[in-house]
Amino acid sequence: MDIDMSKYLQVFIDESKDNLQKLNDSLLILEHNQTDMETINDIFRVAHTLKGMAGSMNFVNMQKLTHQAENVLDEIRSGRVTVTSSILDVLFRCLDALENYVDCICETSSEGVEDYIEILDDLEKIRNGNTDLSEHKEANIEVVKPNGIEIKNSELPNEPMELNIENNKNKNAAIARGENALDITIRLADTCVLKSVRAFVIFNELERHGSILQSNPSIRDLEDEKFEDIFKLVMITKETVSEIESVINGISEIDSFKVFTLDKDIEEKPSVNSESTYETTKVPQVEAKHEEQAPKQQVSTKSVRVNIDRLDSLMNLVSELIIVKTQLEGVNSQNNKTDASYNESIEYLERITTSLNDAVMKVRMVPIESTFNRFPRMIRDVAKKLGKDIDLVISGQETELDRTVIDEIGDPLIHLLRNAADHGLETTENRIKAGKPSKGTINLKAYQDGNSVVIEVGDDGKGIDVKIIKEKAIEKGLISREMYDTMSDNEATALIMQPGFSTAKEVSDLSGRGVGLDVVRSRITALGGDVEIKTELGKGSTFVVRLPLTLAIIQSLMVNIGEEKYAIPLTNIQTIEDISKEDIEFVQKQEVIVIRDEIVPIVRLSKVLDIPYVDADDLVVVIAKKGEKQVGFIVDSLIGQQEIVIKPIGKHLSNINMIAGATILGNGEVALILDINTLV
Amino acid sequence: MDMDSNINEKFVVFKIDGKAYGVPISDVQIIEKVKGVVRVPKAPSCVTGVINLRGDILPVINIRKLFELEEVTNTDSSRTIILKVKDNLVGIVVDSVSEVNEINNIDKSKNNQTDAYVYGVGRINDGKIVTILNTEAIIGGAFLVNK
Repeated sequence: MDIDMSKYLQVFIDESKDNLQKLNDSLLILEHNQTDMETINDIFRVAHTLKGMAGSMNFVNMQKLTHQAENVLDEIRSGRVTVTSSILDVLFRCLDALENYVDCICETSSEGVEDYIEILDDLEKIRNGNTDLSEHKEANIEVVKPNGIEIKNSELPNEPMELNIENNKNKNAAIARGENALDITIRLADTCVLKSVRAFVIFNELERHGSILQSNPSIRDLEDEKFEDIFKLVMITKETVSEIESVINGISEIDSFKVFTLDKDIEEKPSVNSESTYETTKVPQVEAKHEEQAPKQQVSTKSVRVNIDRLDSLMNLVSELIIVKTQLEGVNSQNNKTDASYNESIEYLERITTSLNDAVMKVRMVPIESTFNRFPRMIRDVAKKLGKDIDLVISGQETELDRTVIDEIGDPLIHLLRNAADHGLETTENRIKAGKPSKGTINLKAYQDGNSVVIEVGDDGKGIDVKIIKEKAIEKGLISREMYDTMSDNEATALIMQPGFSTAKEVSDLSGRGVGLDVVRSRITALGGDVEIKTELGKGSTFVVRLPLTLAIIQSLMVNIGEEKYAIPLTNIQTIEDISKEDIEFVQKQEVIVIRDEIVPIVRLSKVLDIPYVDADDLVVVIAKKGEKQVGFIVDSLIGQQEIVIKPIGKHLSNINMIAGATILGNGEVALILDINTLV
Repeated sequence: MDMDSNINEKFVVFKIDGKAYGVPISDVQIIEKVKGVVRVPKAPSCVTGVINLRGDILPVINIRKLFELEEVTNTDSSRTIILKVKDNLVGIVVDSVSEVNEINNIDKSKNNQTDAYVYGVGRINDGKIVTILNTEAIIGGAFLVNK
């Protein structure tokens, strides 16, 4: 008898994360409106759910913490304690601790040994802030105690379980050995969240004291949660009824239970040697003794929650695909290759595969909400630290992005937000002096724009002083005096994202921790996106981050260079020009061409890629653009536009910057994808 | 590569430049014919390129270059042995694969101390001497060295 605990772990992690997020949101609301009863109730409910879940999974420390938090919340709910910002701070710390537990569980399958004593102490202090309440609380956390016999007897089925022949034999043999065969009926509490897990805990606990012969519903149904609240089991044990009763009493989330001894003869109605039913209160206890049964090492996998409609459409498309395949087979076997029907089928197949592709892509899409959700809390903490009053306005959190992009974009956005809070917004005094509202605003906005998603981080702060930037750049040797004069404002503001550039006069704890905006930019370009800065002195600045909708499949231009084939992502390409050898001119030893009155430097890809150079009169130049900068890349010939699936080339080769990955062509050949951004 | 615990582990025995080498069969994912290697610009010089192994793209090591042997063109008997080391797939091209056999009494002291790629020397049942390679060291070396 063994239920595999690990398969519930993912459920637990997912649900805990959801609940922690809810807790976070609610606490933030509570902070703004400290008497909002509705929110307090929400928080209480979430804390209670978390406690139940942690208990079910035997995460003792986590359960202890949520339990203590719940007590405080109960005090708040009943009006005995009023919310103050110091209480909120403790609750936020408690939330952080819970997040740490879940992260730890996510990584190692165990909650770790950290017990956050200070938080527990602080919670205790809040709870004891009102001395006349402590007695009531005592009652509330009191350990389950037997209320007497047969209180809810009528609610539990009385008939003993029918054992199968073999188990019946085992039972009789055990009784003959002088052991007890017990028929146990258990009703789980209504509030029990993970019933099958709870059942597992009960089974586990009982198996320490004997062996379980059979259960009703079967173990499989219990595992699949195919039962209401009640289940029955028969176990063999050397211990007495009352010992087993106290074992069951020690398990939380049991509404009531009944234990009686079975006799050797199953045909007769079992004589009830000892029968008792206890009603337990619903307060779970701390089950410290279960520690060693933490689930085995099982590191959680990434999951995407998928809307069922999307999966249905995927399924439909696949079945259509099979139909077309059968059609094609038919066409082939009849051998009457009437072009019309053949082509029709092929065209149909093409349409379906395109739709199938779209459908699969949609499955991978998740709203950016999951990333945005953690920002209000972060801004709150940052604002407190800086002593600024900051309002974070989020919009477009329903915008969807590929899961892989979502995972990567969090850190760069955090950096941009901190930058806005720290450097963008002025201090409160300065804002008032400048005649602005004392409260600064940071706007975080996401929206889809064609084939890309745009995320804007804007502030209504002091803006970027282009002059200061330029002077600083000269000082740091990033630009020449000549460039100082000719540089456009846009080019100048882009300088702040150059490596080695930091305008903050002093290094603060928040931003300027050695990693600057250059890291943000490189992370975003690594995702195939770019960053643009819009700024107006005195009015504020906005960082516009543009990201591709998806990373897995892109449109690309396939080119021949020497004997080799390469893919260039279409998003990088501006135009393609045919030129002849004579069109190439030299400016300061750099090869350039003039296209529509613009001088464009050119790069011979064969040289960059160490491919033997073949001299030709007619050249093909692929013009790529990055920001304001244009560069022409000489290739030997074009193959055409193609939709390609990006595959990684393995961690050993991932440090080759100019290769963004590889793709497999229709004939099974490998073609490398060029990361043009690194070459511009 | 923990070979002490299972002395009787089987080894894939192959030849490079006339000499017999072996790698533990637990390190070998599959053996393929040599085909479709695509050169990767700027890759370490001992890396021939990448191949497509049923949808996965993985690098191939030029072991002759790593061992500082004369380079030859591949023949019909050349094979790519796909090693799986620390969850990473990497191919090595060898002249031919001879057999899969048990190798007993691996002598670790016999190995040439200057050669980090060798784990030890052992004998197959028929007495043939086989040099056991340290796959981890080979992969580590191939991606570091720029010969």
